[in-house]
Amino acid sequence: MSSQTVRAAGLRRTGVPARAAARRRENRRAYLLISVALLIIGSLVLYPSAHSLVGSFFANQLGEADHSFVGVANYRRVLTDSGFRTALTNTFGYLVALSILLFGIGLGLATWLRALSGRVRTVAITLVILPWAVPGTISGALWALILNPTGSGLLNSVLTKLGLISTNVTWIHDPRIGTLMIGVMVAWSAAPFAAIILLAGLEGIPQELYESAEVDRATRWQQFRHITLPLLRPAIALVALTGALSAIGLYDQVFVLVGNDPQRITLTGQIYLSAFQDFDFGFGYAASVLATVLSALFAFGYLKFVYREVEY
Amino acid sequence: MAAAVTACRSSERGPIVSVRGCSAAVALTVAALAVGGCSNQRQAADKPASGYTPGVLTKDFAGTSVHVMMPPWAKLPDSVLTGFTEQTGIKVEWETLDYDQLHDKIVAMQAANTAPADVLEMDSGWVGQFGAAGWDTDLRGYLSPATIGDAVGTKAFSYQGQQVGVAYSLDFRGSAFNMTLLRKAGVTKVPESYADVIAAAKAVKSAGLAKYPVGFPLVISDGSAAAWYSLLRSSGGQILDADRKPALTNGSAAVDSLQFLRTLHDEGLLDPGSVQLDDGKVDSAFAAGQSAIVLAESPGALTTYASPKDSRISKDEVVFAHTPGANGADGASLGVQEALSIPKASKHKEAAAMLITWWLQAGHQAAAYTNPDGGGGYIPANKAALEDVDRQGKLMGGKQIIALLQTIEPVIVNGPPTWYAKFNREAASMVQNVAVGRTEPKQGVDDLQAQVDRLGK
Repeated sequence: MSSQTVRAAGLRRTGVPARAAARRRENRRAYLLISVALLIIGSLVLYPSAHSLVGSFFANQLGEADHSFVGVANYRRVLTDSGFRTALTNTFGYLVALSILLFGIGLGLATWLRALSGRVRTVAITLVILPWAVPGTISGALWALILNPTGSGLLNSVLTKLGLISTNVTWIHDPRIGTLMIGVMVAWSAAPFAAIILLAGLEGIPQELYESAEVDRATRWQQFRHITLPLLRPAIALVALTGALSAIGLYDQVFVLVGNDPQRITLTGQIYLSAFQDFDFGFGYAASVLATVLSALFAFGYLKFVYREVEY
Repeated sequence: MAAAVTACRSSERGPIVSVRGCSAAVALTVAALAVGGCSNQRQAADKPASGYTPGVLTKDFAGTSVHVMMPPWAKLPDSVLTGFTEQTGIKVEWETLDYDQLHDKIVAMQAANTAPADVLEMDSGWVGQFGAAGWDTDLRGYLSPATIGDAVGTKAFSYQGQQVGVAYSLDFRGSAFNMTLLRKAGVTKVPESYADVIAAAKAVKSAGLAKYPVGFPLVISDGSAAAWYSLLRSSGGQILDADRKPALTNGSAAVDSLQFLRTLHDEGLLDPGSVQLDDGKVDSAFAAGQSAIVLAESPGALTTYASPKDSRISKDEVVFAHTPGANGADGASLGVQEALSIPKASKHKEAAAMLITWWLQAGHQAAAYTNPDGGGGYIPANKAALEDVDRQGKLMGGKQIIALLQTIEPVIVNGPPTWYAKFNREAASMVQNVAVGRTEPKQGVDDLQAQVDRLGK
């Protein structure tokens, strides 16, 4: 063994502990960083979720001494409760209205924004995004002024002055249009986000595809149906998912507009009432677990059936 | 948790963090949560500090800050608060919240074993729920018997022998009539029965003085439910009897009151938009001269009607009278007293009790009622204060209010049950459905009675 070889072997022998020490230092740093993230996720997501899941199998009502394990009894109560069923029906109504409006308004705005350029486009995007920045409670209060069913309501007042209506319309409580009006209110806030997502999707579609289609004499509708729509699927899936989750989690805007009106109550509103007005925590836990499962099902469905990887 | 472990393991560079390391992190998380949970469970003892004497205001707690959380109408004049700080050295931080927000904030924080404030509003309708939850301090150890005894209506804030609140406001429901408008329509007598109200409202409408002459809240809220209970009690009806048995279908009071509301709606005497109007908005419409009659409202609104700044009818003659009943104004008036409470989780109970003692003194209660800047116009619960205000001729509604106070009865004799909040919501919803024609009055009452049966079991 030459002296050079021995020196190399020695280096190898001293190099291994040095690397291990470096690795331990790196690991310690990683543990530290992960601990902070875990603490935040654990306290704000995991612990409440686990607590709700466990709590949903126990009796837990204010003033009742019985806190025993009840199996799926809370779930059975939730599923047979008329208030919960009404809230679920309302939420589905909002979901459908919101999904249609989000896609329609979002795509319209995105197409318009795409056609703009320069400073005009920057200003237009800024204006379009503004409603998204308005907090839900403020948005609810604004729409309450617009949809106020008395003579002081903006919409009723304008329509009366135009001679289009003679008696005030109860916009939110009219069974024929109430769901749609709430959908419009939420879409006003959420459509800008949908527009930006769809705009990004539209900008990602190569112009050459449209040029080729024009050479092949494809109509605008054919271009939309066979190029835009398929290639927008990732963005559409994201918009649809956002709409579904917004509808399932909807609370503040509707509450500001009509309070806890059972006719218009949302799923989240009903859960809140059960837990914090009626103090039926077992019921509230079970209902919130079901709402989470519902959200997960929608997320899975949209990602499975609407979302597609797109390659150009 | 599975997601956390997955996150620990997955890395393009391999397992840079071992499972053992992850376990430590998870354990840390759980430990931190457990510590947080334990701290939430800690509550101050429900006995005053040694040396504290109920009813005696000393400087023993000087430097302490007391947080007060109340609805908009429950105010104390600045001079009264300054006097308290000068006498005790205790500072007062005042927070005003909308009534519904207040309830929700109290519930959310109390459920988490946290004191929303040191002195809190307690509505008579909350006693059953809050009492069952054991959230509030038994005030007998903190306030003198005289302070508790002098407050009229304090009995409504007793839960299973514990005094969880002491009344500061003798609120109740009556009805306001704009006699200036009614006289213009040829109505000279204050309406006393449902039939009188309908006739008067028709006269006002046909004279073109108001499109919708009657104001009544129909939004789903506690206030709307209370408005209907007022009509119910005026006609001799009850929700539960003295033995806490369902009593809605005893007699015809419930159906009569609902039929009355349906008639008002169908005859165009009540704004269809009332489905989104709470009692505050109904009062605003009356103050704006848009209606001539407000059924079932607080006498506190009289100060608003008389204020030229807030009202267009400040020069009109407004009479506050008994809420009309099916056969006249001879039933009970609905009492909805409000009280002050101290959460068990408060860390400044003695200082809070001193503030309540100060607040409920006759002179300060009178000052709160008469001071136009600081007072909310709530009727003092302290007997001496009420007599003093009346003697000075400053009681809005005067002798009529004093007479109505004799007819006050609570919404549920022997206190509301734990399910009162849910029942309130169901009742408000039923009233709205009946008034606008979605449900028939008899069906509405039967459904609500069935709900009372279910909830009571």
